[in-house]
Amino acid sequence: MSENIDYSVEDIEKFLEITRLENDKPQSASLHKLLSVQNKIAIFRDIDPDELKAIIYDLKFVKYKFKDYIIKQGDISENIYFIIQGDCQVFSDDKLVATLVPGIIFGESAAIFKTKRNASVICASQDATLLSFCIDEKNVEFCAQALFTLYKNLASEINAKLESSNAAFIKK
Amino acid sequence: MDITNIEDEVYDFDNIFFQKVSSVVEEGLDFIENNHLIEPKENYVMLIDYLGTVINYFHNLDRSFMDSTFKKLQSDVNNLNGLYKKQKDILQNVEEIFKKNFKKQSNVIRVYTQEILEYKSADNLSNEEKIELKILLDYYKELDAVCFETFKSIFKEDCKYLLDSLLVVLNSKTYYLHEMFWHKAADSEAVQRLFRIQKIDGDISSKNYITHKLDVMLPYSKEYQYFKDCLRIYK
Repeated sequence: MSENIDYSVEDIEKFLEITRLENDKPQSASLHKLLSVQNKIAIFRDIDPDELKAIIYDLKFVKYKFKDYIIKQGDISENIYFIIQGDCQVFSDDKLVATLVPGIIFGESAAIFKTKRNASVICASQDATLLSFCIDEKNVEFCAQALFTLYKNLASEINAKLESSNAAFIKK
Repeated sequence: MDITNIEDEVYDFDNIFFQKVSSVVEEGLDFIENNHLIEPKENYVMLIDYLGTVINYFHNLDRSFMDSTFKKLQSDVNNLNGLYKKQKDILQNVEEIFKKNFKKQSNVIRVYTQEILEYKSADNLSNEEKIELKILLDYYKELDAVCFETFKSIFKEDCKYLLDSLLVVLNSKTYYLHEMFWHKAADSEAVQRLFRIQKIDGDISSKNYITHKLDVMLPYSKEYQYFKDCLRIYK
């Protein structure tokens, strides 16, 4: 069993070499950019950066041009989007239902509930830069706290959206 | 009912029951701390099955692949993984352990069991004795339930703590196994040839290897989903 494994000084040197290589490894550009803007993105607030790295995957900063489809209604995908620059429009059954501006997050409901996209989202400005990512909810054994905080932040976002659409409905 | 004695008995029981896993955990955590090893937040334990297969495969291509450190680490990871699975099973079988192991050596329970047995083995119990036996049996039932609840609460907590700590050790060592393996793979001419022949894009890395496997695999199979999950680790 494990207690019988006796690592020599030479063995340990090999472990340390791996540690050195890991510490010298450059961070991916997307990850570096994400961590530099982490505090500006509400859903990533109060999450330990190491845990944040571990609970998201497929992280990309994507540029779109006017009328590009970001999401198509009925599609299946787990990406969540955060608008960094530019505007987007949301269409449900070809009807314009909302305009989204920088700082807004979308696509979270299909990602959380694993349902088909309930609306299409199109780039509505000359161009737009979006942060796209997926949540690795299976990493709960190592990042339970981070996942809890992330879902709490996402719930606040969804709640804010509901409140704003309720207010708009009452106004009408 | 005073449960202090029961609690003390459970703590003593746990000390012996978890002695081995506890010493492995302590040794593993010390090893990580003393050598300032990395404790990844990514779940490398998930990769163990895939790693086992790919290590065998590459080892068949290049016999010079494994040095003594690598062999030791692989054996260490396999042992820790076995222990981890065993510990997980234990957490699922608390009631059975209570009945089969704890009750047999609990003094608190033994005193009452003995007394009940004495009554039961006696011939011709008087009415008064029958009433006493009934009271005793009722009390024993209550005691058994209290003992079990006390046992469950302490045992589960101890088991969970060891399981979590074991996972930290296992994850760290699996990370080092993974890294050592792919550094060796990158230097191996046989593996380089394999990547060329199979037209695997990019440098020799686990990420590129898994991506290639997914490209040639039947989508939506169980194995496909497993490799997709594995890919999440690589940023």
